Amino acid sequence: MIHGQIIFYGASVALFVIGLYAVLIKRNLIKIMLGLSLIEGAVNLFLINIGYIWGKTAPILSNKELLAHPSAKAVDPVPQALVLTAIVIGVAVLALALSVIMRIYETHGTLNVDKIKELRW
Amino acid sequence: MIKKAFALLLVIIIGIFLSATFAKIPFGVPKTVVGKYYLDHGVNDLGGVNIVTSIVVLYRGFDTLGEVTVLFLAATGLGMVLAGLREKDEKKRKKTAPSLIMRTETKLLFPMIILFGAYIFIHGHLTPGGGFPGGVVIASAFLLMFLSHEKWEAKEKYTKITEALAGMTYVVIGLIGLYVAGSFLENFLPKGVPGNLFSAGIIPLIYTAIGFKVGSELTGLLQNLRETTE
Amino acid sequence: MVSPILIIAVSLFMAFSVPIWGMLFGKKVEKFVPLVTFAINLYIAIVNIPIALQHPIVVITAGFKPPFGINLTIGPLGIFLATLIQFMGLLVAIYVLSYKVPEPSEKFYMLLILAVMGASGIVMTGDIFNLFVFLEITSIASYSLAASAKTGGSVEGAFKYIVLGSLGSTLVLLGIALLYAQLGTLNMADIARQIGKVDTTVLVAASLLFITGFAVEAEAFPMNGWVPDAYTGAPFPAVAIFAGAIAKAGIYGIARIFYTIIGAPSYWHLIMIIGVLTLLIGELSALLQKDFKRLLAYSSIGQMGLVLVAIGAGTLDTIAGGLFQAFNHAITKGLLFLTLGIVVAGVGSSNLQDLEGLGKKKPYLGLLFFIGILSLIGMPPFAGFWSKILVVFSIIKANYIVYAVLILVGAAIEVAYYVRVLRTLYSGSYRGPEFSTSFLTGLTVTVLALVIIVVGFYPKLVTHFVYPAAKELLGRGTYIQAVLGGKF
Repeated sequence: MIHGQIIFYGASVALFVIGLYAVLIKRNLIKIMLGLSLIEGAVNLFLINIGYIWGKTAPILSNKELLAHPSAKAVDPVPQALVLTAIVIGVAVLALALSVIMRIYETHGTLNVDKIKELRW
Repeated sequence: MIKKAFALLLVIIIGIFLSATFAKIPFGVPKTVVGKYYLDHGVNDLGGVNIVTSIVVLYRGFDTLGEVTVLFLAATGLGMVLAGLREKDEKKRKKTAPSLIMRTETKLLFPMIILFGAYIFIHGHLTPGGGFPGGVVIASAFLLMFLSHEKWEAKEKYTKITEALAGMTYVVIGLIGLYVAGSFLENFLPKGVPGNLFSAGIIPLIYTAIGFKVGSELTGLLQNLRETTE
Repeated sequence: MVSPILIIAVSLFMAFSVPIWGMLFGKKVEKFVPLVTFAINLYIAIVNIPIALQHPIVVITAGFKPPFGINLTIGPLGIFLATLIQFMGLLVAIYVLSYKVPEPSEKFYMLLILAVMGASGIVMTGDIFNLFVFLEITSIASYSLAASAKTGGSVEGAFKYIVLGSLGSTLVLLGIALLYAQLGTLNMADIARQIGKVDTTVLVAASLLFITGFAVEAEAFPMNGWVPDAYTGAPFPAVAIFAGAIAKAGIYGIARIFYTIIGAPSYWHLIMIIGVLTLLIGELSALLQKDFKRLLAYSSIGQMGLVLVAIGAGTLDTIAGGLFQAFNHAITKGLLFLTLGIVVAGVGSSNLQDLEGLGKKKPYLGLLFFIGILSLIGMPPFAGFWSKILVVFSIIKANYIVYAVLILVGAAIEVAYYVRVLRTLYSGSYRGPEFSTSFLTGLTVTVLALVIIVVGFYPKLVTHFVYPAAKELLGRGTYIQAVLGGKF
């Protein structure tokens, strides 16, 4: 089962580092936010993956067979519920960040971090 | 250049660190503890066949109330940050009239999309979906109208009232649970036959409130964003 | 008994209903909504104090016992901080009655209520994912509050805050995911009970992720880059909430996770190292500031560093001292920021040069600054004296001599720049415009100053709470037992 670990967890790590690199290096405010979204995506992917169990199905018990032995047939439902929450939170932050970026663009006429005095760090 | 190299180094270190950590976590093997309880007892406890929904709305319903609040905060914050921007941009806005086909078709589609959104949140305890996707579908109907009809707008007054009433309903349902059944957000309605539309106690009620809330919040959010873009 | 969960329910109901009140009774009513909300909440919190001091209150939600449902677990620490947070909220709510808040004002009031609600949720919840949800509520509300002034500096500070804040909370989420992957549960007591089963690599990773994530709210190094800009840009009532409520919630998050959940002394040292770096960086940067508001922001970083060092040292006295210091920081910084808010509304600038001679022109406001600053640098007979003494002596007693020396160095730097501020306030002659103070804003800051003086004479008022709270952090068995029952 080691290949599953490499592929699925590897994808999370890859998304995480790409996102972090974008946050650290990119000078465009929107690209920085994109990087943050990638990091969030990485964590959500990881959460979903830890709930997965080989050969099992979605935790919606719509037929008799599933209803009889739910925990033997279905994957862990908790991470899925957590990811639902985390996704909504991610969208909320992104929307707010974009509105702040619109304000910054209005005052400075640019999205480049280097040209905005206070944002250099 | 040095900065770039430093960032790259940091990213690589963090990548190795994460990989080493993830390597300790087995993949695809059963390791559910609390989840197992939810799967085995969910239908009996609550009467909903969609266990994820049961977790989201009841077992971990307190989180969902928080989640609704987060979305509410984002809509409020966005309105706060963008307030005052819209007047300035009003003049700059270029008007490109949408085509006749677009205008006619959206008018036909609009009620159907709303209906579909309502279907999704009403059936949240039976099928994948629920209040959040349902609300988003409803908001997308409004988005279509915004795109196709330049002058048409969702009055802020109405979105605000819907949002407020839906949110208050959610809290009140929780409080009824506290005083009738004994704890906040506890189910106080009969569970019904699993798989039926009228089952799963307060899940459909809460999802309806969430559907209205998310729909009106996102519509208000889109309205705010639309008024500020040219 | 009034269930503490009502604090959350009432706040949410009132925050959602602000537009309805506005529509029913006119716009003027809206500004009283935060006041009513915080008054009710403070009452609920105070009623629950004696119960929580006896035994942690466990409130279940949705009718499911932990670990299957989300529960609130409110011990001495939780109720102490929740009361403090609601008290600060109430004072700020009185303050905004006669303070010009940014438009649209009804949104500002909603954000204010929800920021305070989120912070009290953090200190009350017993579920780690719920902690994350409340952390996000708090931080999104504060991003919006930071941006609400809508000036160039305000939105830029807010953007920095958003980048660091959402990175931080994503890291917290990853930490939670790691713990869930190992234990399959999200209840904090349940995790604490089984923490021994977690692989060491994973535990180290999770603790690093948690401390980095919560460092954003706790204003700790290396995630505090947002503090000076966001504090400088945000309106004064919002800044008082940042210092008085949100930073406290961040400290609570770190303390709860490292003491109750992880519970291994070898990890606590991490808090001390981060704390001492925060302290020195904050104080040294404050030394160079020319703007009073920015100076207070840097000094706030330094103070939070001191709190972290004390909490990380891990003996009963140091933790109690740290919590006492956190209390003083909330009250004193609240006083200084809100008084400065009155001054800036009149003078139009918070630059130290423009405030020259203000203490002579406005003796009462000058006196308030004087009380606040003396308490901050730890002069008797003010509240700050007791907490600083307690922290320094207990850290020496715990054999952390190097840290004690570094704390004293930080305190010396603090004295240096605050004396400079006082000298500016009382030297030269005031050249700015005339202004008057409204009754309600004056009342708020007077109450805060009185708290400082009263606690200065009767430190028992606070130590009565912080010692049980410290005991709760060190005795994780009681916490676990209260939630899950059975023996530990």
